[in-house]
Amino acid sequence: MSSQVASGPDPHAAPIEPDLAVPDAVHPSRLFDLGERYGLVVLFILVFVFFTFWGKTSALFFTHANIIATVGSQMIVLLIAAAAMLPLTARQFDLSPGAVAGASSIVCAATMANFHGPPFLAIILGVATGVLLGAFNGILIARYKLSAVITTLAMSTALTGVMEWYTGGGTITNNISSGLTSFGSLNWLGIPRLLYLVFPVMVVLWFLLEWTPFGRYVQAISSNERAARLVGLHVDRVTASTFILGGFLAGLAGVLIVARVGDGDATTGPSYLFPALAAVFLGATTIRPGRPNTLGTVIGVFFVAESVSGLSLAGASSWISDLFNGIVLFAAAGLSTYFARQRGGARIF
Amino acid sequence: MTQARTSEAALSVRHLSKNFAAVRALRDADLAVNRGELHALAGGNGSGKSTMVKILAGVEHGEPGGEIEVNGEVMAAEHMTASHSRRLGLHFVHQDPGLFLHLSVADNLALGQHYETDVTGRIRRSAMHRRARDVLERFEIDARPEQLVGELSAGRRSMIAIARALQDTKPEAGRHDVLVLDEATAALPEREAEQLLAQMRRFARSGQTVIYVTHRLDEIVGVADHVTVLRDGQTIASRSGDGLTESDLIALITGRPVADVFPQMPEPSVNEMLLSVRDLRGGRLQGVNLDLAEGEVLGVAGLLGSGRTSLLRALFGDLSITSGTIRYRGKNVLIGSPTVAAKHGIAYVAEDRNGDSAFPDLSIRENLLVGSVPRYFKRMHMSAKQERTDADKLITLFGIKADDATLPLSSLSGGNQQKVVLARWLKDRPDLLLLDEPTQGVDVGARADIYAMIRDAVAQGASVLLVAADHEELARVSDRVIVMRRGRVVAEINRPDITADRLTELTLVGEEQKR
Repeated sequence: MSSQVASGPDPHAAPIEPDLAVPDAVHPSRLFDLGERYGLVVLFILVFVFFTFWGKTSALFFTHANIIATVGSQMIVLLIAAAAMLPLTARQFDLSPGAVAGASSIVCAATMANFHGPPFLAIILGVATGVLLGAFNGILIARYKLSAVITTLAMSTALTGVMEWYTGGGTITNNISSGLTSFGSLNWLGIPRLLYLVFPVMVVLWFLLEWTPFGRYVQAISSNERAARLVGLHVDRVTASTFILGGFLAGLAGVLIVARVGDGDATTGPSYLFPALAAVFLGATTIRPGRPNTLGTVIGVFFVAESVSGLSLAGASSWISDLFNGIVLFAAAGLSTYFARQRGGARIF
Repeated sequence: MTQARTSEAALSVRHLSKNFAAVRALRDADLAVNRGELHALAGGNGSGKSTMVKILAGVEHGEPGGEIEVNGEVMAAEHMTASHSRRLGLHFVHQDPGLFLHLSVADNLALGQHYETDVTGRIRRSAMHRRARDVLERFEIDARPEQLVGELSAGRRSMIAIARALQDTKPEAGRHDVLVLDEATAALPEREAEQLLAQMRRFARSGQTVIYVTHRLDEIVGVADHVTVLRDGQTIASRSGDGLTESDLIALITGRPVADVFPQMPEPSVNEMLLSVRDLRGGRLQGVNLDLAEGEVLGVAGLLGSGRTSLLRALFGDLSITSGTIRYRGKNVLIGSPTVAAKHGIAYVAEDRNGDSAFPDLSIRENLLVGSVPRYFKRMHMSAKQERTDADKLITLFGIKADDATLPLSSLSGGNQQKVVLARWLKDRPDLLLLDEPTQGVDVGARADIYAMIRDAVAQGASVLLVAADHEELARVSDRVIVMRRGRVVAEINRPDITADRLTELTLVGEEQKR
């Protein structure tokens, strides 16, 4: 009896966990699982088919011109979405990719317009701007443990101010390389030239997150940062890297803004942020439900794009885009939380 | 308020029982406390003392049949609620005093009662400070009303918490309040704990009734007026503090006489040393010395807060050390981070699986291989096939009951999750295993499996530093046990002498035996 006193934790304070299998309900059946994974893909196809055959949109929706225009217009959103997605894979919010892309577009345009630099230098400086700003965010957040939401919000706000100041509220249009602008607006073989750049970038990103150690590290950090630290992972380094890579992608998006719009200005970049975030969150409900993922983000971007395109063709005006993005965010927040909980993880966003 | 009896009893608990499912935490226990008494409530882990306090506070309900009488007013134990408890004049201060560290002393006191405001609703600061000054004076606390509580020492903070609890009581008004300190000294440094108890003794002299729960014997002997000892949910003894010795108390708490509590200091080990720690400080550690031979299982016993977890974390680079040396495999090493520790072949299984080890939403396979990801990056991609083969091998090797390694870890039972966490480290044949409560929250079968895993690792040459609150477990598994107390190693016992009772005695009196 005395040993009873000596041993054991408080019997009532810490009940022994029953060693039973977890009930089935927690783990969805295969069919349900497939439904989760590919639900958005199916929905994407259904919406596509609907607009192709619906009387109001059938004439214009499934045409080469409409498809090319829609795809071409989404390339920059896609890059900014990818930039926002990277830190989110490690459970860090980044609200700055829009503003970073804006800053990069201004650096790129100004190099050509105000400093008469050659286009290649303008491109390099534009991308480098993104990398530097991403590194600044990443170091503050990963190394000095500042709040990611607030740090990137501060970055975004401050950059918007600097851009307004530098451009005086106008646009920088002089001396923009025509090679760059034709890359942004013309097609090769009937396909937007931008796609020839953005597609390989997305493939590399997909590979990085799905097929390399880096992708595994990010997943582990997202699942349990403290446990990741205690198995010896370089948590700070990996987290900072997601911001730096995100900065690189946002910088690239900035250069493409110059290519597509033909100028550098303070408002275009930031305007892409919310559509991009909506796509990331929507993407987190598919392919790998509960986790932001590359393929999901691509599907998210194009799902929103085709829906807005179809609704616009049916007569809705420009307000439809904001409304639709808002609805998508509600749905995405609910679904991704639901999926993450089903897998025993915490809510991501 | 009902009419107070003339008797001297401040609080009396009779026939108190409490069942948690099949566990009988309290069985017909009694407690009688007189007015103006400093009354210690003692007992080992699971003796029922914290359950009794919870019932008094109205947090838990007793079984029907129990009675609680405070100042002559009788309550049925099953009907006691938190508001009854307050109304009867019971006041509680817990180990975590629950103060607002970034607010001033005056604010903290006012938040425990009310703010004095003028007609516009503005706080009257001068009145608030004046009242705070009165309270500080009355409770003999050396602090100023405008001082931030965070600036005060831990002992003074506890005093503020006590003053906050008692500030409304008016001993002269006939009503008699009872202060209950629920392990309030457990987190305090020794000197401050002594000072706090000395002050409680003065309060008791002036008529305040104080009950305190502690498991430190030195805080009872020579301090308490009266002692009640609980064991296995029953009141074993209720006696005056006069003439009480530590040996008496140990006998009462453990239920067997103390033949010789004082262990022999061990011979220095002659085996090849894997790890030698000298004067390690940092966190709770106050200068730890220990040696660990190759292939040895060294148990670490100690009460909560003794520094046992800090020791493991410091050795794993998860807690920065301020001084001391760690000699590992014959070299002085600096273990600045878990990454460095893992490179040295050191493995750490933390106490809190959900917080510190599990990736609940990642697959069982990913959980097993998370520490060796680069090994599977071949020909420019993660080799899924190799991962599958290796993970399946580990699942078989370590007897993990999992149907499908691609399911999330959270689909496994607690015991199998823990096996996954252990297998994650053991697969790389670590030289040093740091295990903090490796079988916590695990059923008996899995517990045996986990110890089999550890034994196999030891058979392959690993050394183990094992922390466990379960002394039976420590006694069974360890070659040698060190006992920690207040950040130091205070005792050490070797193989034939290790018994659970002995460990309990040592954790309770560890320091005194040296003097």
